[in-house]
Amino acid sequence: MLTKGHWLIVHLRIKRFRLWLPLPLYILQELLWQIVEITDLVGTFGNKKLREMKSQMPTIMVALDSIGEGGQYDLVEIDADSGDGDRVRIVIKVR
Amino acid sequence: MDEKQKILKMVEDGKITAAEALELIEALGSTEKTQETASKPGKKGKKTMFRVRIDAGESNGGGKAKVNVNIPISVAKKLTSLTKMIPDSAKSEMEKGGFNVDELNLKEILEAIGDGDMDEEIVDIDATGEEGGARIKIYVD
Repeated sequence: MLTKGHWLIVHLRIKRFRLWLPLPLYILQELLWQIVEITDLVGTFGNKKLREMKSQMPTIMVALDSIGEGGQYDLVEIDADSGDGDRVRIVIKVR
Repeated sequence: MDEKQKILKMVEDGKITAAEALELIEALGSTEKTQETASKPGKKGKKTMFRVRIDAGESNGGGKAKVNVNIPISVAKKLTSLTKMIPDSAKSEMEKGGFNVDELNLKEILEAIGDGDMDEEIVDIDATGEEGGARIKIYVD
């Protein structure tokens, strides 16, 4: 089911560029797993630090899984203004 | 006229019986208690959200930045295991400074915060001056 579980909604605004990206949490988890698997397959995980990261993937998955447990809330909100008109706004919502 | 007086007046007028009045007063008491807890997120009330607010900027028209991070305490408890991800090199650097991450029981701290055993405001740093600065606030509600 496409609407299964929680969604991460990313709002990004940099100058005139605007992005609104709703992403189901379980798809994000799947993507992350697949990226790690693929990089492992092509041998990128020869690097010790990256290998450590792979061993921590189950923890990351549990953490991502638990993000939705708090209901609906705004996870991160960043608003930066350089003072000369450049403004960056990033909002990550859990819905 | 407050609610209790109104109820007593209704008994006096014979609109309701004494038993019904008692029931109403009891219901009123529990409602008042609930409202009290809700209005005072309280020193002892259950906390649900862990919030970090960073407000940095220059007062003379320079840049400024605001960062808000909200994490439900139930989620934060599960994220404590992420300290395992801190690279060994970083851990040893911290140990040199006298801080051992492995000895830190974040889960217990978060449980204490969530149960209302700690103050609402955990950190409140105000380093703003004439040329700007930053205000960092970490609190639970």
